[in-house]
Amino acid sequence: MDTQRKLKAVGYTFDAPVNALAFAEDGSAYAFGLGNGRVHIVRGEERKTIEAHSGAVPTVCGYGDGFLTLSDDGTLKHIAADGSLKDIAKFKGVWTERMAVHKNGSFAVAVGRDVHLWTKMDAEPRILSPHNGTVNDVYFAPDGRGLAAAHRDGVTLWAWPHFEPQPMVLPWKGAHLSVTVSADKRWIVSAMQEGALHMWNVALKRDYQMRGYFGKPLSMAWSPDKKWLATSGAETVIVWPFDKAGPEGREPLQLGWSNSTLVTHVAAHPEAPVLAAGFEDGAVVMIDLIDKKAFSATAPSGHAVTALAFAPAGDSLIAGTANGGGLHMSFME
Amino acid sequence: MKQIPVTVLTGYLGAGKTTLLNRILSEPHGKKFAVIINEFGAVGVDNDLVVGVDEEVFEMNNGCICCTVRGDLIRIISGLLRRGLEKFDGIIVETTGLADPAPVAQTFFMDEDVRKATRLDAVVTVVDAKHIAERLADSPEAEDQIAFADVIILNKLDLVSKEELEAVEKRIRTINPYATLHHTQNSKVDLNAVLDRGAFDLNRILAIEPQFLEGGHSHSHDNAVQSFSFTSDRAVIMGRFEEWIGQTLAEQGQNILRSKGVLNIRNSPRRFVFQAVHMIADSAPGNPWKDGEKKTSKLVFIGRNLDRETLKKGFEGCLEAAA
Repeated sequence: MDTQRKLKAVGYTFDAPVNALAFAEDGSAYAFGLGNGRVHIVRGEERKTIEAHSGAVPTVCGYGDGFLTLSDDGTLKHIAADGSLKDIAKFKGVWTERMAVHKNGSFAVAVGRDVHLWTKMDAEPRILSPHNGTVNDVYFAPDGRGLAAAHRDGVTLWAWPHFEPQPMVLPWKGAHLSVTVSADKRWIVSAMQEGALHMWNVALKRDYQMRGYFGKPLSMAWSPDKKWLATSGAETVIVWPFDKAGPEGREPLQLGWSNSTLVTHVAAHPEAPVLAAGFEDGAVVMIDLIDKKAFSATAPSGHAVTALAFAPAGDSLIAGTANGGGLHMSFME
Repeated sequence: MKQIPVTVLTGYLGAGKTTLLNRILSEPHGKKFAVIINEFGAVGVDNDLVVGVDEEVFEMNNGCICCTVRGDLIRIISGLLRRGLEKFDGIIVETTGLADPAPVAQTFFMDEDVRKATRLDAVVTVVDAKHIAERLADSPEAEDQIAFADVIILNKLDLVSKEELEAVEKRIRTINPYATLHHTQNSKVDLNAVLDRGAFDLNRILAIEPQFLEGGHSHSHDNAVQSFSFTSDRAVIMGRFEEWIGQTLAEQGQNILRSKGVLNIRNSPRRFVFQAVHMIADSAPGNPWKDGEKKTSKLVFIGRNLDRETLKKGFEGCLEAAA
């Protein structure tokens, strides 16, 4: 992809902060989850605002041609392609902020100290428990046969189909807020409260702490060739090498932008070696991983970028901001 | 981003916290508050955020063992941020009667996202004048809540005699000599005394006026909280002070609950203002001294197992030689 090509942008103004966004898995639509419980869906020329929840909507995931939306009011819903809304689950009195979807149709929700796992839409969920504290994030192993759950003092790895032996607990003191798993399942990487990454090589049973982030590196994205992990939380995009023996003893790339604000979100293009980074001042920047060049996709608005995602086909990018701004940028041929 | 002021409301069970909270919410001040209650749900939010009790205290891995923060509090402030924090004039955090105020206060300094969106305005502690003596004897939390306070609401005055009140006040002052203290019944206090205090705003700290200094320590148990204050008319040498206070907080930060200082720095026309919660310190040049104003340096430490003589010697080592 040539990042120097022109962008065609469509802007949206919502009546609440954008909390989350996603493309449908088949790319047929995209959705913005808002702080007032509404979900705004754009499908071709059609726009729909759906009163999905009464709380905020911290996670939206594409699911087939529709969406799964999770609210911190404890409700999990499915929005079909025709806009019809279906209740999947309702939880009471627990934190529900993070959810993950695998392309095989499984989805998992962090529900207080448990994880509820659905292998398909209408199945009964399996409850994965216990965890050492409230589960802060869940992430499917890329092959769909395992799940990482981040929580206080470590990450728990669940494996199936047999769930045996016991889940593997990777201990490290402190609050693990966000987690990801490498394509070969050798590396588990978590983002920590104190501006650090913790990386476990589960094959070699070794772990490393990567410190020095100014903020929390909550947003992490793997390059399409899976050799690089881009992270937020610093004034440049910090990109760790995961080819060969991994990042131990190697310098990360610091790709960026003459910008003094923090990177709040990163996203990786699905096919090309291109990253998108959203900043605290509202700027969105595209970065080429090969020539390391960056160019501005949108100028700073003064309001932090709260979410970013590439379309599954890689032909567009959506962004949302803390003051309710939404942006769809198509890459022109 | 506009920083929303946060008032932390502490106090032992039955002291009158909820009465004060209801008073704050019901008076016609035209302000909109997000209230984070005991159960760490938030009320007064358009779309209420109510979740179960999970008081999650964790250490920050930054080499400072006293740097504990409250994960549940970070989560709920993040929940408010998602809804748009700018629609609130303030946040009130009501802690449980048994809560340790330190991780609550430290969350507002240690968590990057919380720190950007909010500012801790003051720790307000409601104290039951009738029962506080018993509580202080058996509960370190009650002591910590007083030690941490910027504002103390000494409540239920109708239940104590004048002599009892004097004794209670004296006891409170040995723990915390600088908090502003108000006498109340039914937590009836002017809200200006509780809200928008700017207690952590270095620009607003002009002087420390310690009360009942170190008089009559009534040590009711070992490990009791004590306060020490040091005063000098000799100017402070900046380099020496920075080195000493840095080392003192690094070594004894766990025992020093709070410290505060307004200092006369040698060759400086301005006050130097300093304050810390455990090891988390903040300092800046303050307002200029007025012409003819007596330039006195004052430093207060509140904590457990502190050695007065060592601290005193340390402070004196920062002063310029007597004229």
